[in-house]
Amino acid sequence: MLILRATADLLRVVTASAADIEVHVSAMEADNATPPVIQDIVRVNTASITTATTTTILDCTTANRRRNVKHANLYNNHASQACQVDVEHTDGTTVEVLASVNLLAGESLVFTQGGVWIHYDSNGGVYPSVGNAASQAEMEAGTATDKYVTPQGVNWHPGVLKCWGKAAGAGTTLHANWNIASIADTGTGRLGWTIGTDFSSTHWAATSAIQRVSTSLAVASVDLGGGMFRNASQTAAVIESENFDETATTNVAQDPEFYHLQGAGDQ
Amino acid sequence: MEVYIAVTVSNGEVYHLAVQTEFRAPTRPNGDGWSFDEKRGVWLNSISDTYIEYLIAKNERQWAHRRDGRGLPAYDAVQVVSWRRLTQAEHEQFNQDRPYRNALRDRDGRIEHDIAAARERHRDLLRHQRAQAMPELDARFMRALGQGKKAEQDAVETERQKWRDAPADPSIDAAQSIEELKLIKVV
Repeated sequence: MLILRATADLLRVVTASAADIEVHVSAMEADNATPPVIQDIVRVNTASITTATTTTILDCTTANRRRNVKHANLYNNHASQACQVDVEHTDGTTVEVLASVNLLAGESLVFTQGGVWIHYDSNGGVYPSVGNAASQAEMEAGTATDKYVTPQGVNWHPGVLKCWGKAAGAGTTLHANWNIASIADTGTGRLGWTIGTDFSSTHWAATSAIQRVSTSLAVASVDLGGGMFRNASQTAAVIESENFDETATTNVAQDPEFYHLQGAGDQ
Repeated sequence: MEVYIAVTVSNGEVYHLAVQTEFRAPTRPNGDGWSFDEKRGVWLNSISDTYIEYLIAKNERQWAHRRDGRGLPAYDAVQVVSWRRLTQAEHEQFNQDRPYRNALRDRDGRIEHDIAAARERHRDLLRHQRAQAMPELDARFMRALGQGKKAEQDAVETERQKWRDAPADPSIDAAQSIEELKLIKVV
């Protein structure tokens, strides 16, 4: 139920952009007798709102009349332009926003007879509530039991990898990745990884692996780079993998078939 | 898609960067020039010079502070001297002759091998092969010694001496290209 009961009362729509908002309102009108007598059954179609403006969609200008809004419908008929829409009630002095919604093209906002505002997408589906999505802080804490996880929020959980990648053994091509901005071939058997969105400190957990070039177990064919990083190579943004064989006296740097990296920590 | 960059560092070596023009990440990646393709869910970057310099600076902070964790003097810590974009053909050069990769230099707008560095690299490769060959030769020599087979001892010793002499082979200094170096072998 939504009431207009004085001549100054208005139901208005504030549009924030030049879209094409079509508005319909259905209402019942009664006088102030005891008991009230139904005077009219009102329906108002407002001309399409195509600018950023404030538009009255229902008034109550006849003295001693009350209007009870049964249904209101706002539809964005524009092909592409989204529009922030505020529905507000004024008694001539005080203005209250009743609903505030960003209507994408083809979407609608409906006020039902039961007093419920419903936001429909362009396919007629009802928007789900997003009020209980976990925040970044809640995801990082990882303890809430009354929040749900959004696709973006998944990344913030401490148990989730913040970056990963697979690069060619020569270090010259990155084949697949998440959050890796570039790789650096700084020499045979060495590969630098540069992260897109950095970690918050140098202390993040990195895991390295390599795919061997050969299936032979001869010492010269064994790659020892699995799990190896070059000393002092880790910063919040960069780390360097190494690979070498197992020959005597001094191991020799050599390229693996592929390098792999996984990084977990706080961003 | 990748943009390839050559970075020349203070020890003369050239590093190869493969910079990603698009990738997936949870939030706007660091650096300039990012836009988000909502349909594909990827971050896009046209890879401006400013962005490249940002990435290089990120890496240089690590390259310049390489050190030995046991308190020994710093090794191969380098600063950036210059950088430039690579053509596809130049990028492919980094995928070829990988045993000589560390001899690559960026000189006068060309990616090429420094032959002096390549010769040293070839000597290292021969020493590496020698380290693999010697244990088996030593075993053969000891067996021949134990069995009193002098001729076989001499044959094995001749082979061992070839390996010992290999890094000093004058043909290494005479070689003028990677292809010529590849032909210098012990066996």
